[in-house]
Amino acid sequence: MEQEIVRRPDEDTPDEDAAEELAAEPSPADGDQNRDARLTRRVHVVLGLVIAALGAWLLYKSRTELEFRGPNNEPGPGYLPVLLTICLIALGLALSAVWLWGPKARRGEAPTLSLSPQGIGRALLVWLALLVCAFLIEPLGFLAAGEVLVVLVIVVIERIRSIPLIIALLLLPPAMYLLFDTLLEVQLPGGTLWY
Amino acid sequence: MNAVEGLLHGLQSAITPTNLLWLLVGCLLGTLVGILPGLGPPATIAILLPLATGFAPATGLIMMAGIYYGAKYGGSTTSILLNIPGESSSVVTCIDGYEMAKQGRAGKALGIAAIGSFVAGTLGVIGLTFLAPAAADVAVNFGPPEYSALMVFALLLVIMLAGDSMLKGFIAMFIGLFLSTIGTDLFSGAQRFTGDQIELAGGIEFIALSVGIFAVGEVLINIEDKTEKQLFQVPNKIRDLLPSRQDIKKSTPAMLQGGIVGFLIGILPGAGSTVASFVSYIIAKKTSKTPEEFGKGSIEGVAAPEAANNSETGGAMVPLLTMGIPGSGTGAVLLGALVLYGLNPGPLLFHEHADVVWPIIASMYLGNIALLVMNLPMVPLFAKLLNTPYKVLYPAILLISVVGVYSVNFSIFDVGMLVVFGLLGYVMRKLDIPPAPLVLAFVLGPIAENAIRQSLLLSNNSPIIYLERPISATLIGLAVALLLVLAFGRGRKVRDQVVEIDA
Repeated sequence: MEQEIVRRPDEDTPDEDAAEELAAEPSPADGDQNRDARLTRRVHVVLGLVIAALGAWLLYKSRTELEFRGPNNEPGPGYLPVLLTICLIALGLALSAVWLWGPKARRGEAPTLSLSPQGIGRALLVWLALLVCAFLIEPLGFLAAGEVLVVLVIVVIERIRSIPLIIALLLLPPAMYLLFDTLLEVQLPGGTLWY
Repeated sequence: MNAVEGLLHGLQSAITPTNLLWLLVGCLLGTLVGILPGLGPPATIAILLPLATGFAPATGLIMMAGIYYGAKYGGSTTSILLNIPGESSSVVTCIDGYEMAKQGRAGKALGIAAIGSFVAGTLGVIGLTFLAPAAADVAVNFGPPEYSALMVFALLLVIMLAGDSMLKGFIAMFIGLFLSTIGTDLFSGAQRFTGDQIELAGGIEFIALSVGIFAVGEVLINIEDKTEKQLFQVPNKIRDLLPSRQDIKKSTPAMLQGGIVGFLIGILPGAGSTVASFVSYIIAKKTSKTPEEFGKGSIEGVAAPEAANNSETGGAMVPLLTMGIPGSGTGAVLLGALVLYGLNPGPLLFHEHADVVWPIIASMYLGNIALLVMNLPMVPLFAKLLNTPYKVLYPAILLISVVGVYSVNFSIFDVGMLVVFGLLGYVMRKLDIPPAPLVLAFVLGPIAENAIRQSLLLSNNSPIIYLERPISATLIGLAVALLLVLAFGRGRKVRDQVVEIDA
C-alpha cells in the first residue's frame, strides 16, 4: 500500500513488478489465517494460565480445608485433591509453555480454533434461554418454564415464521409432560407459584 | 446338575407362556426406559420390584433380567441419535455413534448396536453358564490393590480417547478426577468442595454432568450456524438404514472382542460396564485395520463398546449369583430382589435353588433374541426421527435433558448443574479439549480413590503392596509399559503430539 502512495499515477508499471508486488503482499485470506493463528495461540496461553491459577486456588483450598493425612497417618480426604491439583497446575503451565515456545505455535502451523463472535453469540443466547428455563422451573413448573424456553427459541433465537413449526414447538412441553408425568409417573415440578 | 443339564432344564422352565410374556414386557420396558436419560435400569427395576415380587421367583427375576438387558440396549439409541448418554456406559458409544448419525448412518449404527448387543450378550451368557465357578475364584482374589492397579491402567487408557492433543486429554482427565472428589469423603465423612450445599454432599450427579457436557454442549455447537438445512441426512431406503453384510463382517472382530472383554471385566465387582465399554473401544481401535476412522464415525467404534456393555451383564451376574456381590447399582437392586424371594446368593445357590437360577440364565439367552427381534425393526423408525428439522429437535433435546436430569433425584439443583456443565461442554469443544476423558475419569475416580486409599490403609502406607501381589504387579507393569509407549513409543510420534500438535 505504501508503495502505491509513493508511486506517481502517470508512471508505467512493468508487468513483472506488479506480479512481484502481488506475491509479496499478503492476501486477505492469509491475513485472516494469521490473525486466527495469533488468536488461537493467545487463547491457549491464557487457557493454560487459567487452568494453572484455578489449580493453585484449589490446591490452596485442599491444603487449608482438608486433612492430607488421617489420624493414623493414612491418606486423608485432602490426599487425592492435593495430588490432582498439583498435576493440573503442571499441565496448565505446560499448555501455556508449548503454545508460547512450541515450534509449531511460533511458526503459526498449529491447528486454529474457530472462534467466530456471531456463532458464539448465538450459542450463548440458547444457553441463556436454557438458564432462564432452569431458573423458572421451580416457581412456574416444568410446563410453563418449558414454554418460556420454546417461546424464546421461536421469537428471539430462530425468529420462526412457519406456523406448523411454531405449533410443533409449542406442543413439545405438554407432550413431554404427558409422557413423563402422566404416563411414566415421573413427577415433574408443578410450580411453587401455583401450588 | 452340570451346566448343560442345568441350562436345558432352565430353558424348559423359562419357555412357558407366562415367563415369555414377562420377559418381553421386561425387554420392552427396559428399552423404553433406557432411551430416556436419567431413568436407568436400577431405578426402573426398583420401581417395578413391588410388582415383580407378586410373581413366582423365576418369573419376577426373568422380567428384571429383561429390563436390565433392554435398558442397556435402549441407552445406545439416544447416544447415537442425540449424543445423550443415558448411562455412563453409553458415553463411549456417543463418540463414533453420534458421528455416524451426523453422516446419515444412524440406522447402521443402531443396527450394529443391536447385533453387537445380541452377539456379545450371548457370549456373556455362555461365559456365565460355563465359566461362572472358575471366574468367581479369580474375582475373589481381586482386593483393593488389584482394583487400584486396574483403575490406574484404565485411567491411562482413557488418555487414548484424547484425540489429537494428549496434553488436553490429560487436562480433561484431571478435571474429571477432581470433580469426582466433590462430595462427602467416605473414609472420614469430611465435606470436600461442597460449598455447604447439601445437594453436593453425595457428589455431582453423573447424569447432570454427562448430559450437560455431551448433549447440551453439542446442541450449543450445532446451533452456532444459522442454517435452514437439516443437521443430519437420513437415507430414504430402509436397506440403506440397516448395516450391510460388509459392515457386519467388518465389525465382527470388534463384537467378539467386546463380548470377551465385557464378560471378563463384568466379573470384577465395581469395574462395571463403563470400564468394559471403553477398554473394548481402545482394543478395537488398536487392532482395527482402519484406526484412523475411530472418533470420526467408525462402525467398529460402535460395535465394540456396545458388545462389551451387554456382555458385561453376563459377567456381572457371576459375582452376584455365586458370591452375593453386586457389581453395580442394578446388581444391588437384583440382589435385593433375590433376598426378597428368600434366596441367598452364594456358592450354594446353584445347588439349593437350581430351579430358579437356571431359568434366569436361560432367560438371558431368550432376552437377547427378543431384544434383537424387537429392536431391529425399530431401527429405521428411530433413525427417521433425525429427519425432524433441527429447529424443533434442539429445543426437544434440551427439554428431554432437563426432564432426564430432574427425574434422577427430583432435584432442581441438578438441573442447574446441567446448565453449568452444558456451558463447560461447549467451552471444551470450542477450545478443542476432548470431553470423553473428563466424563470417564469422573466415573472411574471414586473407584480409583477408594481402592488406592484402602490399599494404603492395608499396607500401612507402603506402596510396595502393589508389587507384592501378582495380579496388581502385572497390572502396574502393564500401566508402566503403556505410559512408556505413550511417552517414548512409536518414536517421535507421541512426543510430537505432546510438543507440536499441542503447540
